[in-house]
Amino acid sequence: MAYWSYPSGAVSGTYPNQVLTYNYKNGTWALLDDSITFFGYFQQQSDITWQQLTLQWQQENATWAYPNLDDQNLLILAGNQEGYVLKVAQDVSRNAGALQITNMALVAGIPTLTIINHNLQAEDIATNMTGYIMIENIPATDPNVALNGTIWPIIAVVDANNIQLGIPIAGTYAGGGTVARVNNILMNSKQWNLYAKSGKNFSVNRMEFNVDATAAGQLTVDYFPSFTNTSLIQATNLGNNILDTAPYPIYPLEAEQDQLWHPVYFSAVGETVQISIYMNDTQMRNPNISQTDIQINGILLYVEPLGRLQ
Amino acid sequence: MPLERFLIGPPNSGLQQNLKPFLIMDDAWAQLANMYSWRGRMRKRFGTIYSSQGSLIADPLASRVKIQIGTYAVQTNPPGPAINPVPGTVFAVGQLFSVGADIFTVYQTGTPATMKSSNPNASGTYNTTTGAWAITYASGAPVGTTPVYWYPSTPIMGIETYQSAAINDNPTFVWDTQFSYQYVGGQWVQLGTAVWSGTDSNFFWSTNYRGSSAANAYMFTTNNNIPDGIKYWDGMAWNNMSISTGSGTTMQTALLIVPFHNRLVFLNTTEGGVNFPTRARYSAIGNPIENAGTSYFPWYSNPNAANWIGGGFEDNIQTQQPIRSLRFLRDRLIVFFGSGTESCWELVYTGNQILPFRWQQINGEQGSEATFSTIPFDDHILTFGNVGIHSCTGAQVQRIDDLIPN
Repeated sequence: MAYWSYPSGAVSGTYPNQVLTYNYKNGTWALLDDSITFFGYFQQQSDITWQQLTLQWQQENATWAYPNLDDQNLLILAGNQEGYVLKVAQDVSRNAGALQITNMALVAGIPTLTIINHNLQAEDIATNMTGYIMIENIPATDPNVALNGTIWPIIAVVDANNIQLGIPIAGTYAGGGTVARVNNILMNSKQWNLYAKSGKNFSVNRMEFNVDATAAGQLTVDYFPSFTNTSLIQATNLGNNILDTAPYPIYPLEAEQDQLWHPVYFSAVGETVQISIYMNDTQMRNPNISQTDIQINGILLYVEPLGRLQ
Repeated sequence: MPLERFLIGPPNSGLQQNLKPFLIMDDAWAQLANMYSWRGRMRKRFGTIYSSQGSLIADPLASRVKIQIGTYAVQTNPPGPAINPVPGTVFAVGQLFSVGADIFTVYQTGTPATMKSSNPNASGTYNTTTGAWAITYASGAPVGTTPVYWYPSTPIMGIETYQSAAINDNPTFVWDTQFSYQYVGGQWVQLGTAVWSGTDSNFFWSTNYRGSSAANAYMFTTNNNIPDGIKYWDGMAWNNMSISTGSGTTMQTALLIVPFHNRLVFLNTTEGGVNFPTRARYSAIGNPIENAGTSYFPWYSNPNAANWIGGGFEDNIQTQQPIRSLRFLRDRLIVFFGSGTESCWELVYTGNQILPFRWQQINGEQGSEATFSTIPFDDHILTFGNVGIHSCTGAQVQRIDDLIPN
């Protein structure tokens, strides 16, 4: 993989806010939301010990031979705008808390976090379901210690150093807290119509997703008919379209499986059907879901032609 | 009619935006954020962990660059001996002090102003004009020799591996805008005492090369900021590099440094206060460290001058575009030019010791606009141009981002 960190043309921030990734093996591209000022290499000089491992099992996707655990492997480092130097970990599905909470207070009655050079953009606010942060490392002496481990949507970006959240702030903040960005995913598919050549509309009744099994993962599979952006789950009552990447309890064997075929049901007929995969607000606020690994190995569409194309 | 089944997989296509979503490949994605295609599957993006750990969560301070400014000796309060005020010239809200697990956060400006303290029995003040600080414990002061650290909290501006002589011991050096750091004992602590003065656009370009002896492992560093000059790390300390050109001026800084055919080469140089954006200035073969005491001047560029031993420069007078970036393609040095318009050139080694390098154009349209975007591969080099991502094979340059033209 090749990574380039850059300021997106849609924003005017001082620091890079996106990472363009290029898989040079298959020539594919993707965009990541992150704020990294410099990438480099790091040759770890000692093994990681059990004492240093503090992730919960469901957060750790690494094998025993994972390079980040062994000495003398060449690892990738990423530096950010606040002077943090982090290890890039391909098999960890969350971000480290690399933004310092300088202050936390009510400003005109609105809970406001001062994070110097947070580099979060107005585009990140929660209405786009991309602006979520996780609060960590508030010391035990702080009255806000209960906020540790909680995930919150950003309500507003006040300026380069302040954001507003809907958090309950108690007493006077003592310092030491950090914020980790919680990344939502967004995958908008092709506008499929497998019968366009036959002049037929396209009906999708069900899709089976082959996913890697997780402990508690979930995704939302939204869908849009006929070249529109009209969500058929947000604007209607046509199901919640939750894709579980965790085993179904009613099938005991699934608990042993590495991969799962799990269905999502649709009621879509149109000139085309496009799916959109993301995590909804409830899923984003749950660390067991939003910080779980996601791997999609294939999608099986159950389709039929229906009526003439119009 | 029974339902037909149609398998999308393995998903080997990523983001595709060159066509409308109706026309892209069946397994491509019209929008793709924080997922990518990898070995026949769509996978969540990489995560990050703190430097000190294989897997999160504790000790974020160990993952921040820091400077030790004092030590809490037994029964001393406030701590001493101390560096006070803190070094450098940037004193700002958002900076941090730590004494053991106690954290003192600069959350307001003042001369001085109170800091937030994570320990209710300790307090601190910081002067955001002078950098003077004070930390006092009412009770429960640390015992032993607890270090007092200051966190400048400025952006990371460079990360480079120092190729020291020991096998499998290549430490990584990190720079923010003012200081350099090395990972020692599970923490990023200051390396040497040098202070740079660049802004958050003065990124650090470094290269490893020999010093006065072929046995030396030196790292040469520039942030292309005239007051900071060129510095080199000799294994013990940062040294300012003296580069006399022999014409009465000295070279002050450069955008890029690279060793090439046993010479150290600076590109896009600033000499006597004047920027030479297309210049490649090279040293004599071997030792690049000037020593006026022994009349050793490896950067003298006039073959007729006394003490000339092979240094020189080569301007690319065929273009006024500035040199922007470079990488090696096997034994060839590919140099990208660009500033609105772009081009790609090779600094060709001639074998002639009087004129060892010549410029040769590879492409007159496609170069680079981002110094640190250039990535070398076995048979090509990738870089960010002003209209797309370019790949140079040494024979030609072409865009590779046809799938994501915007």
